Amino acid sequence: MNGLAKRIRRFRRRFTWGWFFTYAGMLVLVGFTALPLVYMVSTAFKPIDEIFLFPPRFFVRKPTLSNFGDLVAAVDSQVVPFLRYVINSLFTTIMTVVLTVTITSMGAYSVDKIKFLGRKAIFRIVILSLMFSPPAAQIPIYMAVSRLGMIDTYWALIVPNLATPMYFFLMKQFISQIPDSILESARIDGATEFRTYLSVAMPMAKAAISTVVVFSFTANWNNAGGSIIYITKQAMRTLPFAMSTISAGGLARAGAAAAAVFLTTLPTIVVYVFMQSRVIKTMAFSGIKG
Amino acid sequence: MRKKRFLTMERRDNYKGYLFAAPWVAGFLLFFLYPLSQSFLLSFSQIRDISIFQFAFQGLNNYRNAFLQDVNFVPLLMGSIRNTLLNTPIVVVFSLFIAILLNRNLRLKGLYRMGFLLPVLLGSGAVMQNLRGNAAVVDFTSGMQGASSGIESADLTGIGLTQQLTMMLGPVAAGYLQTVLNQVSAILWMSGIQIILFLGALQTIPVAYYEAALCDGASEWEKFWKITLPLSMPVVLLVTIYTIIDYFTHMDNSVMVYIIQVSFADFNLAYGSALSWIYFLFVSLFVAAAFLLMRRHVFYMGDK
Repeated sequence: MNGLAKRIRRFRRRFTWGWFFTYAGMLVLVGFTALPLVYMVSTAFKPIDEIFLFPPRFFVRKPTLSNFGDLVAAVDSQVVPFLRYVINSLFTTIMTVVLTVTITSMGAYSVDKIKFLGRKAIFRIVILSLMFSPPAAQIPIYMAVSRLGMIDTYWALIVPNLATPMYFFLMKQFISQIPDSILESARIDGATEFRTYLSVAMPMAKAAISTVVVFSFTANWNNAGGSIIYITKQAMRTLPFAMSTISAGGLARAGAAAAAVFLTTLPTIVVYVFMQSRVIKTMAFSGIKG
Repeated sequence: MRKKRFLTMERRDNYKGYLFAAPWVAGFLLFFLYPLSQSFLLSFSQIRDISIFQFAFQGLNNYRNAFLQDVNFVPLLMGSIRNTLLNTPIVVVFSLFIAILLNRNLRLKGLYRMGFLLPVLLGSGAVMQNLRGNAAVVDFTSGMQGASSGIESADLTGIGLTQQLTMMLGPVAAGYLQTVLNQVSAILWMSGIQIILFLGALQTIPVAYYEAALCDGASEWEKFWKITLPLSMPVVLLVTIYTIIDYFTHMDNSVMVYIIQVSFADFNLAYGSALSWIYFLFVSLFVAAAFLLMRRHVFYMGDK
């Protein structure tokens, strides 16, 4: 009792209208960005009559799992088991993310920390290509993929997505904050360049790595384009493709589609939540000026 | 090991550099630069036979058509430029503001951060399209949204939430609310990464400066203008450029939508490439302008 009174008094002393508005404003904005997520989750559990209710309701009244049943039914009628799509998606996305992080960080590290001829030129070209709108290049990319004989292989879903200028740029911005003197001292102690990169520079660039992991995972996990363009075998296509066929089922499949959207978003959120604490925490460390 | 002794320091650095950069550069050349150069060639030509990728040189015809014949392109381009010019400053200021708030000792920090990054996670993918699709299914009776908001804001609010509010509140109140919501969401949806970049910058500012300012009796306002802002100017520049590019090359941008439509729905690849290159030129003009305008205010702290 006494403790509570004390708490209230302490709260009163610290309370100002400025803080009140800060918190209120933040909560409103966050609530606003969270709306689509909440809507998505609630729709996934809506029975079919609530999905088509007019006027529509935001929250679900009678939650049910029937949409997931519909999803299984919708998917079972397809030639390829649903799990196959999930595995395809997981495999190509994880490969893409791992390889992207590896080659991007190596490239960015070399451009920023190794003094070799032409590094400035590379960086300038990267900056310029950031501004280009990619859709027009899609057909030439297809030509390149097909000439390399990668059509109908998993490589077609992985390799073209690896060298993204945006991630290179992000990575380079972070790596340039690592003081040269630390790397220099590692080299003087006899570390090879690769060792310096792996054991000294990379731990200090964790924030950049986590950021690139989150972005590249999200982008590739959600990308249906590749498996439509490069893949002709149904069994090698990915989850977003399967999803688009489900939602193409029209009104009858609306419930199944909502469930599929919910299930497909989950991994993205999980990856983000897993990485986010690192993103921000390590940012504080990686930013230390030498 | 033996061989290395004959290499000069400089040469060794060169080899190391090439070795490290090689995988990325190879991927970049093969799947970015080469397609880009192809599309550049394509923009000067006309497709003869798409199945064997044969095209005929046509000179500047495509470029001429874009400005003189195409009734859609120039208005769309102007609209896109206006939109970017209006929104970029708002996004930069807004995200700096939010980042400063997030950098303080607030309760539930993680929740806010998650909240502001959500649009980045959800907005880029099939999920958003699907939500939009669902909204379209739900909303088969009202044409209100398309009528009252421009192409882009309608796309950004997407999810069909505004229509739902319209159902609950009635058209008049909802009309105002919708305009406000469109604006707010358009900005929120575009500023996730910017907030993260600013947060990173703010955390690199040494606390000692603020303590010194505190001893000298500076107010919060003065601290912001004399310490926070000048020291985060490099990131302000970075964020400005990022925002400009993001606005111009966003998949919902009306010019991008038009280019995709021309190239793939109408299958006029050559013309689509020409449009892309014109667009690219405009975007780089704006980025260069932003860079030149802000360069005098940017200074770098320390050794970099």
